[in-house]
Amino acid sequence: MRTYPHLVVCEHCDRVFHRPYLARGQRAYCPVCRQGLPCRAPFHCERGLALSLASLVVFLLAMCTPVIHIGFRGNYSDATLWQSAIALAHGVGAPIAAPVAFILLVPLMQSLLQCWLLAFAFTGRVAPGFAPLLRCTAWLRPWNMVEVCLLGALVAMIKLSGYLDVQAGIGLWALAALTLLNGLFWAQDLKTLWEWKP
Amino acid sequence: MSLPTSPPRARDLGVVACHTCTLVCDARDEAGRCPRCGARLHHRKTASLDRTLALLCAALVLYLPANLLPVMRTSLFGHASDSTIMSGVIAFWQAGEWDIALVIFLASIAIPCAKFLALGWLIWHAHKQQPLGRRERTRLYRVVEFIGYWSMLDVIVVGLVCALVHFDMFSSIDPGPGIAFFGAVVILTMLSAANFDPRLIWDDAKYD
Repeated sequence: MRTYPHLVVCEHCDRVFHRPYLARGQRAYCPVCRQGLPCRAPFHCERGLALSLASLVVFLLAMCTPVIHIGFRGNYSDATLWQSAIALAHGVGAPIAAPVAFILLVPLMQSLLQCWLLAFAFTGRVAPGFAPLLRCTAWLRPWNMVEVCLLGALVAMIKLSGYLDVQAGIGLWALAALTLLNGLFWAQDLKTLWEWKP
Repeated sequence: MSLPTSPPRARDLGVVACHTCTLVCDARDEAGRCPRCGARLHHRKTASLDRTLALLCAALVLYLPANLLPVMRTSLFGHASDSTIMSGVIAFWQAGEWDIALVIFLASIAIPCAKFLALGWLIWHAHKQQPLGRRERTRLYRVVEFIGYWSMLDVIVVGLVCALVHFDMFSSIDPGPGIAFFGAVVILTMLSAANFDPRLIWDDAKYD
Protein backbone atom coordinates (compact mmCIF):
# COMPACT_ATOMS: atom_id res chain seq x y z
CA MET A 1 0.00 0.00 0.00
CA ARG A 2 1.30 3.48 -0.85
CA THR A 3 1.79 5.84 2.06
CA TYR A 4 2.39 9.59 2.09
CA PRO A 5 4.59 10.49 5.09
CA HIS A 6 5.04 14.05 3.77
CA LEU A 7 1.31 14.78 4.20
CA VAL A 8 -0.79 15.38 7.29
CA VAL A 9 -4.58 15.23 7.62
CA CYS A 10 -6.56 17.27 10.16
CA GLU A 11 -8.28 14.86 12.55
CA HIS A 12 -11.34 17.09 12.92
CA CYS A 13 -12.14 18.32 9.40
CA ASP A 14 -10.27 15.87 7.12
CA ARG A 15 -8.27 18.55 5.22
CA VAL A 16 -4.91 17.57 3.75
CA PHE A 17 -1.75 19.66 4.21
CA HIS A 18 1.97 19.32 3.57
CA ARG A 19 3.54 18.16 6.82
CA PRO A 20 5.46 21.10 8.31
CA TYR A 21 8.76 20.53 10.07
CA LEU A 22 8.29 21.58 13.69
CA ALA A 23 10.83 22.21 16.44
CA ARG A 24 10.24 21.07 20.03
CA GLY A 25 7.38 22.98 21.63
CA GLN A 26 6.01 24.21 18.30
CA ARG A 27 2.53 23.28 17.11
CA ALA A 28 0.75 23.59 13.77
CA TYR A 29 -2.98 24.33 13.64
CA CYS A 30 -5.50 23.59 10.92
CA PRO A 31 -6.48 26.94 9.33
CA VAL A 32 -9.97 25.61 8.56
CA CYS A 33 -11.16 24.29 11.95
CA ARG A 34 -8.33 25.46 14.28
CA GLN A 35 -7.62 21.96 15.59
CA GLY A 36 -3.97 21.16 16.35
CA LEU A 37 -2.58 19.09 13.48
CA PRO A 38 -1.17 15.65 14.38
CA CYS A 39 2.41 16.55 13.54
CA ARG A 40 4.77 17.38 16.40
CA ALA A 41 8.47 17.30 17.11
CA PRO A 42 9.90 13.75 17.48
CA PHE A 43 9.34 12.16 20.89
CA HIS A 44 12.09 12.80 23.44
CA CYS A 45 12.44 9.26 24.83
CA GLU A 46 14.82 10.09 27.68
CA ARG A 47 12.54 12.79 29.07
CA GLY A 48 9.44 10.62 28.63
CA LEU A 49 11.10 7.64 30.33
CA ALA A 50 12.22 9.73 33.31
CA LEU A 51 8.73 11.17 33.77
CA SER A 52 7.11 7.71 33.44
CA LEU A 53 9.41 6.20 36.08
CA ALA A 54 8.72 9.12 38.42
CA SER A 55 4.96 8.72 37.86
CA LEU A 56 5.23 5.03 38.72
CA VAL A 57 6.79 5.77 42.13
CA VAL A 58 4.43 8.67 42.87
CA PHE A 59 1.43 6.56 41.82
CA LEU A 60 2.29 3.93 44.45
CA LEU A 61 2.45 6.67 47.09
CA ALA A 62 -0.85 8.18 45.92
CA MET A 63 -2.65 4.83 46.10
CA CYS A 64 -1.11 3.29 49.24
CA THR A 65 -0.89 6.25 51.59
CA PRO A 66 -3.93 7.99 53.16
CA VAL A 67 -5.30 10.92 51.17
CA ILE A 68 -7.27 12.40 54.07
CA HIS A 69 -7.13 12.00 57.87
CA ILE A 70 -10.20 12.83 59.95
CA GLY A 71 -10.78 13.05 63.66
CA PHE A 72 -14.00 13.26 65.63
CA ARG A 73 -14.24 13.34 69.45
CA GLY A 74 -11.09 11.32 69.95
CA ASN A 75 -11.82 8.88 67.12
CA TYR A 76 -9.45 8.92 64.17
CA SER A 77 -9.82 7.55 60.69
CA ASP A 78 -8.09 7.85 57.35
CA ALA A 79 -8.66 6.56 53.84
CA THR A 80 -6.61 5.86 50.74
CA LEU A 81 -8.03 6.29 47.24
CA TRP A 82 -8.08 2.54 46.84
CA GLN A 83 -10.24 2.20 49.98
CA SER A 84 -12.73 4.61 48.44
CA ALA A 85 -13.27 2.17 45.56
CA ILE A 86 -13.75 -0.62 48.12
CA ALA A 87 -16.22 1.56 50.08
CA LEU A 88 -18.30 1.97 46.91
CA ALA A 89 -18.38 -1.83 46.52
CA HIS A 90 -20.19 -2.19 49.87
CA GLY A 91 -23.82 -1.34 49.46
CA VAL A 92 -26.40 -0.82 46.74
CA GLY A 93 -24.10 1.21 44.48
CA ALA A 94 -21.70 -1.71 44.08
CA PRO A 95 -21.72 -1.89 40.22
CA ILE A 96 -19.88 1.46 40.03
CA ALA A 97 -16.96 0.15 42.12
CA ALA A 98 -15.49 -1.83 39.17
CA PRO A 99 -15.21 1.15 36.76
CA VAL A 100 -13.88 3.34 39.59
CA ALA A 101 -11.22 0.73 40.42
CA PHE A 102 -10.33 0.60 36.72
CA ILE A 103 -10.06 4.39 36.54
CA LEU A 104 -7.81 4.44 39.61
CA LEU A 105 -5.50 1.84 38.00
CA VAL A 106 -5.27 3.61 34.61
CA PRO A 107 -2.28 5.81 35.63
CA LEU A 108 -0.42 2.64 36.72
CA MET A 109 -1.16 0.85 33.45
CA GLN A 110 -0.11 3.94 31.48
CA SER A 111 3.18 4.34 33.37
CA LEU A 112 4.03 0.64 32.94
CA LEU A 113 3.27 0.73 29.20
CA GLN A 114 5.24 3.96 28.74
CA CYS A 115 8.22 2.60 30.71
CA TRP A 116 8.24 -0.60 28.62
CA LEU A 117 8.00 1.19 25.26
CA LEU A 118 10.38 4.04 26.10
CA ALA A 119 13.00 1.92 27.87
CA PHE A 120 13.43 -0.13 24.68
CA ALA A 121 13.38 2.98 22.50
CA PHE A 122 15.99 4.54 24.79
CA THR A 123 18.34 1.60 24.17
CA GLY A 124 17.65 1.83 20.42
CA ARG A 125 15.42 -1.23 20.08
CA VAL A 126 11.76 -1.76 19.21
CA ALA A 127 9.89 -3.07 22.27
CA PRO A 128 8.19 -6.48 21.89
CA GLY A 129 4.51 -5.83 21.17
CA PHE A 130 5.28 -2.22 20.17
CA ALA A 131 2.24 -1.59 17.93
CA PRO A 132 -0.55 -3.12 20.10
CA LEU A 133 0.89 -1.59 23.30
CA LEU A 134 1.26 1.88 21.78
CA ARG A 135 -2.34 1.58 20.54
CA CYS A 136 -3.30 0.68 24.13
CA THR A 137 -1.80 3.93 25.47
CA ALA A 138 -4.00 5.97 23.11
CA TRP A 139 -7.02 3.96 24.22
CA LEU A 140 -6.29 4.47 27.95
CA ARG A 141 -5.64 8.21 27.65
CA PRO A 142 -9.22 9.53 28.15
CA TRP A 143 -9.69 7.37 31.27
CA ASN A 144 -6.80 8.93 33.18
CA MET A 145 -8.59 11.01 35.83
CA VAL A 146 -5.82 11.92 38.24
CA GLU A 147 -6.77 15.60 38.31
CA VAL A 148 -10.42 14.70 38.92
CA CYS A 149 -9.34 12.52 41.88
CA LEU A 150 -7.29 15.43 43.21
CA LEU A 151 -10.22 17.86 43.02
CA GLY A 152 -12.51 15.14 44.43
CA ALA A 153 -10.23 14.72 47.46
CA LEU A 154 -10.22 18.49 48.02
CA VAL A 155 -14.02 18.67 47.76
CA ALA A 156 -14.36 15.73 50.19
CA MET A 157 -12.05 17.54 52.63
CA ILE A 158 -14.10 20.74 52.50
CA LYS A 159 -17.32 18.76 52.72
CA LEU A 160 -16.23 17.06 55.96
CA SER A 161 -14.40 20.03 57.49
CA GLY A 162 -17.74 21.45 58.67
CA TYR A 163 -18.29 18.56 61.08
CA LEU A 164 -14.89 16.96 61.68
CA ASP A 165 -11.19 17.74 62.06
CA VAL A 166 -9.69 17.19 58.61
CA GLN A 167 -6.03 16.92 57.61
CA ALA A 168 -4.37 16.31 54.26
CA GLY A 169 -2.39 13.05 54.01
CA ILE A 170 0.70 12.11 52.03
CA GLY A 171 -1.58 10.65 49.36
CA LEU A 172 -3.02 14.06 48.57
CA TRP A 173 0.43 15.55 47.96
CA ALA A 174 1.36 12.51 45.86
CA LEU A 175 -1.83 13.02 43.86
CA ALA A 176 -0.88 16.65 43.22
CA ALA A 177 2.63 15.57 42.15
CA LEU A 178 1.16 12.90 39.86
CA THR A 179 -1.07 15.51 38.20
CA LEU A 180 1.99 17.67 37.58
CA LEU A 181 4.08 14.75 36.20
CA ASN A 182 1.22 13.72 33.90
CA GLY A 183 0.94 17.27 32.61
CA LEU A 184 4.67 17.38 31.87
CA PHE A 185 4.53 13.99 30.12
CA TRP A 186 1.57 14.95 27.93
CA ALA A 187 3.27 18.19 26.86
CA GLN A 188 4.82 15.83 24.31
CA ASP A 189 2.60 13.80 21.98
CA LEU A 190 3.13 10.07 22.52
CA LYS A 191 1.64 9.49 19.05
CA THR A 192 4.88 10.80 17.54
CA LEU A 193 6.50 7.59 18.81
CA TRP A 194 4.90 5.88 15.79
CA GLU A 195 7.44 7.70 13.61
CA TRP A 196 10.35 6.50 15.75
CA LYS A 197 12.81 4.15 14.08
CA PRO A 198 15.72 2.31 15.76
CA MET B 1 -14.26 30.42 4.97
CA SER B 2 -11.42 32.87 5.34
CA LEU B 3 -8.94 31.01 3.11
CA PRO B 4 -8.67 32.07 -0.55
CA THR B 5 -8.65 28.43 -1.69
CA SER B 6 -9.92 25.78 0.62
CA PRO B 7 -7.46 22.90 1.23
CA PRO B 8 -8.54 19.57 -0.30
CA ARG B 9 -10.23 16.88 1.77
CA ALA B 10 -8.54 13.52 2.24
CA ARG B 11 -11.63 11.79 0.89
CA ASP B 12 -11.53 13.75 -2.39
CA LEU B 13 -7.82 13.02 -2.88
CA GLY B 14 -8.32 9.28 -2.40
CA VAL B 15 -6.18 9.14 0.72
CA VAL B 16 -7.08 8.27 4.30
CA ALA B 17 -5.29 9.12 7.53
CA CYS B 18 -4.98 6.25 10.00
CA HIS B 19 -7.14 7.11 13.04
CA THR B 20 -4.55 5.55 15.36
CA CYS B 21 -1.11 6.65 14.14
CA THR B 22 -2.15 9.45 11.70
CA LEU B 23 -0.11 8.02 8.76
CA VAL B 24 -1.63 9.08 5.43
CA CYS B 25 -2.34 5.99 3.29
CA ASP B 26 -3.82 5.19 -0.10
CA ALA B 27 -7.58 4.75 0.26
CA ARG B 28 -8.17 2.73 -2.90
CA ASP B 29 -7.65 -0.53 -1.05
CA GLU B 30 -11.01 -0.83 0.73
CA ALA B 31 -10.96 -2.16 4.31
CA GLY B 32 -7.17 -2.10 4.30
CA ARG B 33 -4.95 -1.93 7.34
CA CYS B 34 -2.40 0.73 8.17
CA PRO B 35 1.07 -0.59 7.22
CA ARG B 36 2.65 1.17 10.21
CA CYS B 37 0.40 0.37 13.19
CA GLY B 38 -1.95 -2.34 11.87
CA ALA B 39 -5.18 -0.49 12.67
CA ARG B 40 -8.10 -0.81 10.25
CA LEU B 41 -8.33 2.20 7.91
CA HIS B 42 -11.62 4.03 7.51
CA HIS B 43 -12.66 7.47 6.35
CA ARG B 44 -15.18 8.01 9.16
CA LYS B 45 -15.80 6.26 12.47
CA THR B 46 -18.16 3.30 11.97
CA ALA B 47 -21.88 4.10 12.46
CA SER B 48 -20.78 7.22 14.31
CA LEU B 49 -24.13 9.05 14.59
CA ASP B 50 -26.12 5.90 15.47
CA ARG B 51 -23.72 4.90 18.22
CA THR B 52 -23.42 8.42 19.61
CA LEU B 53 -27.20 8.78 19.74
CA ALA B 54 -27.76 5.32 21.25
CA LEU B 55 -25.24 5.92 24.07
CA LEU B 56 -26.62 9.41 24.65
CA CYS B 57 -30.19 8.06 24.99
CA ALA B 58 -29.00 5.38 27.43
CA ALA B 59 -27.28 8.08 29.50
CA LEU B 60 -30.41 10.26 29.43
CA VAL B 61 -32.56 7.38 30.74
CA LEU B 62 -30.14 6.70 33.61
CA TYR B 63 -29.88 10.41 34.43
CA LEU B 64 -33.36 10.33 36.05
CA PRO B 65 -32.61 7.71 38.76
CA ALA B 66 -29.18 9.32 39.20
CA ASN B 67 -30.86 12.52 40.36
CA LEU B 68 -33.91 11.07 42.13
CA LEU B 69 -32.27 8.27 44.14
CA PRO B 70 -30.03 9.07 47.14
CA VAL B 71 -26.28 9.15 46.48
CA MET B 72 -25.35 8.97 50.18
CA ARG B 73 -26.97 7.67 53.35
CA THR B 74 -25.73 9.33 56.53
CA SER B 75 -26.32 7.48 59.79
CA LEU B 76 -25.45 9.47 62.90
CA PHE B 77 -26.32 7.94 66.28
CA GLY B 78 -29.20 5.95 64.89
CA HIS B 79 -30.62 8.77 62.74
CA ALA B 80 -30.42 7.97 59.05
CA SER B 81 -30.84 10.60 56.35
CA ASP B 82 -30.57 10.29 52.58
CA SER B 83 -29.12 12.94 50.35
CA THR B 84 -29.42 13.32 46.59
CA ILE B 85 -27.06 15.28 44.34
CA MET B 86 -29.30 18.36 44.35
CA SER B 87 -29.97 18.27 48.11
CA GLY B 88 -26.19 18.23 48.69
CA VAL B 89 -25.78 21.38 46.60
CA ILE B 90 -28.67 23.09 48.40
CA ALA B 91 -27.26 22.15 51.83
CA PHE B 92 -23.92 23.78 51.01
CA TRP B 93 -25.64 26.84 49.55
CA GLN B 94 -27.77 27.32 52.66
CA ALA B 95 -24.74 26.83 54.92
CA GLY B 96 -23.22 29.83 53.16
CA GLU B 97 -20.51 27.81 51.39
CA TRP B 98 -21.49 28.96 47.94
CA ASP B 99 -18.07 28.20 46.36
CA ILE B 100 -18.16 24.48 47.12
CA ALA B 101 -21.87 24.40 46.18
CA LEU B 102 -20.90 25.91 42.82
CA VAL B 103 -18.15 23.29 42.18
CA ILE B 104 -20.54 20.40 42.90
CA PHE B 105 -23.33 22.06 40.89
CA LEU B 106 -21.04 22.55 37.88
CA ALA B 107 -19.54 19.04 37.95
CA SER B 108 -22.71 17.08 38.75
CA ILE B 109 -25.59 19.00 37.19
CA ALA B 110 -24.43 21.71 34.75
CA ILE B 111 -21.78 19.67 32.89
CA PRO B 112 -23.94 16.53 32.30
CA CYS B 113 -26.89 18.67 31.14
CA ALA B 114 -24.64 20.77 28.89
CA LYS B 115 -23.21 17.55 27.42
CA PHE B 116 -26.67 16.18 26.62
CA LEU B 117 -27.63 19.41 24.84
CA ALA B 118 -24.29 19.81 23.04
CA LEU B 119 -24.12 16.22 21.76
CA GLY B 120 -27.78 16.32 20.73
CA TRP B 121 -27.12 19.58 18.84
CA LEU B 122 -24.00 18.13 17.15
CA ILE B 123 -25.80 14.92 16.10
CA TRP B 124 -28.80 16.84 14.72
CA HIS B 125 -26.72 19.26 12.64
CA ALA B 126 -24.30 16.58 11.42
CA HIS B 127 -27.33 14.54 10.36
CA LYS B 128 -28.82 17.54 8.49
CA GLN B 129 -25.34 18.36 7.05
CA GLN B 130 -25.92 21.95 8.06
CA PRO B 131 -23.15 24.05 6.45
CA LEU B 132 -23.39 27.01 8.87
CA GLY B 133 -21.35 27.32 12.06
CA ARG B 134 -19.06 24.39 11.33
CA ARG B 135 -16.04 25.90 13.01
CA GLU B 136 -18.11 26.76 16.10
CA ARG B 137 -19.51 23.23 16.28
CA THR B 138 -16.01 21.76 15.99
CA ARG B 139 -15.00 23.97 18.93
CA LEU B 140 -18.09 22.83 20.85
CA TYR B 141 -17.05 19.20 20.28
CA ARG B 142 -13.58 19.92 21.64
CA VAL B 143 -15.15 21.48 24.75
CA VAL B 144 -17.46 18.44 25.24
CA GLU B 145 -14.47 16.09 24.95
CA PHE B 146 -12.50 18.16 27.46
CA ILE B 147 -15.12 18.70 30.18
CA GLY B 148 -16.65 15.23 30.00
CA TYR B 149 -14.63 13.42 32.62
CA TRP B 150 -14.85 16.13 35.28
CA SER B 151 -18.33 14.85 36.19
CA MET B 152 -16.65 11.77 37.69
CA LEU B 153 -15.82 14.12 40.59
CA ASP B 154 -18.96 13.30 42.56
CA VAL B 155 -18.31 9.54 42.40
CA ILE B 156 -14.78 10.04 43.80
CA VAL B 157 -16.09 12.37 46.55
CA VAL B 158 -18.78 9.88 47.63
CA GLY B 159 -16.26 7.02 47.60
CA LEU B 160 -13.77 8.94 49.73
CA VAL B 161 -16.34 10.24 52.22
CA CYS B 162 -17.83 6.76 52.65
CA ALA B 163 -14.38 5.23 53.14
CA LEU B 164 -13.50 7.89 55.74
CA VAL B 165 -16.58 8.13 57.91
CA HIS B 166 -16.83 4.73 59.59
CA PHE B 167 -16.33 5.32 63.31
CA ASP B 168 -18.58 2.70 64.84
CA MET B 169 -21.84 1.04 64.00
CA PHE B 170 -23.78 4.19 64.93
CA SER B 171 -22.12 6.82 62.80
CA SER B 172 -21.24 6.04 59.22
CA ILE B 173 -21.86 7.26 55.67
CA ASP B 174 -22.75 4.70 53.00
CA PRO B 175 -23.10 5.03 49.22
CA GLY B 176 -26.63 5.07 47.83
CA PRO B 177 -27.94 3.60 44.55
CA GLY B 178 -27.96 7.05 42.90
CA ILE B 179 -24.18 7.19 42.67
CA ALA B 180 -24.03 4.00 40.56
CA PHE B 181 -26.53 5.49 38.12
CA PHE B 182 -24.64 8.78 38.08
CA GLY B 183 -21.32 7.05 37.38
CA ALA B 184 -22.96 5.11 34.55
CA VAL B 185 -24.28 8.39 33.07
CA VAL B 186 -20.77 9.91 33.07
CA ILE B 187 -19.20 6.83 31.46
CA LEU B 188 -21.96 6.56 28.83
CA THR B 189 -21.69 10.24 27.85
CA MET B 190 -17.90 9.88 27.59
CA LEU B 191 -18.33 6.87 25.28
CA SER B 192 -20.97 8.78 23.34
CA ALA B 193 -18.62 11.73 22.75
CA ALA B 194 -15.78 9.35 21.80
CA ASN B 195 -18.00 7.74 19.15
CA PHE B 196 -18.92 11.06 17.54
CA ASP B 197 -16.81 11.75 14.47
CA PRO B 198 -16.08 15.51 14.14
CA ARG B 199 -15.34 15.00 10.42
CA LEU B 200 -19.09 14.54 9.95
CA ILE B 201 -19.53 18.22 10.88
CA TRP B 202 -17.61 19.11 7.69
CA ASP B 203 -19.16 16.56 5.32
CA ASP B 204 -21.40 17.74 2.49
CA ALA B 205 -24.46 16.07 1.04
CA LYS B 206 -22.47 14.78 -1.96
CA TYR B 207 -21.06 11.93 0.16
CA ASP B 208 -24.42 10.21 0.57
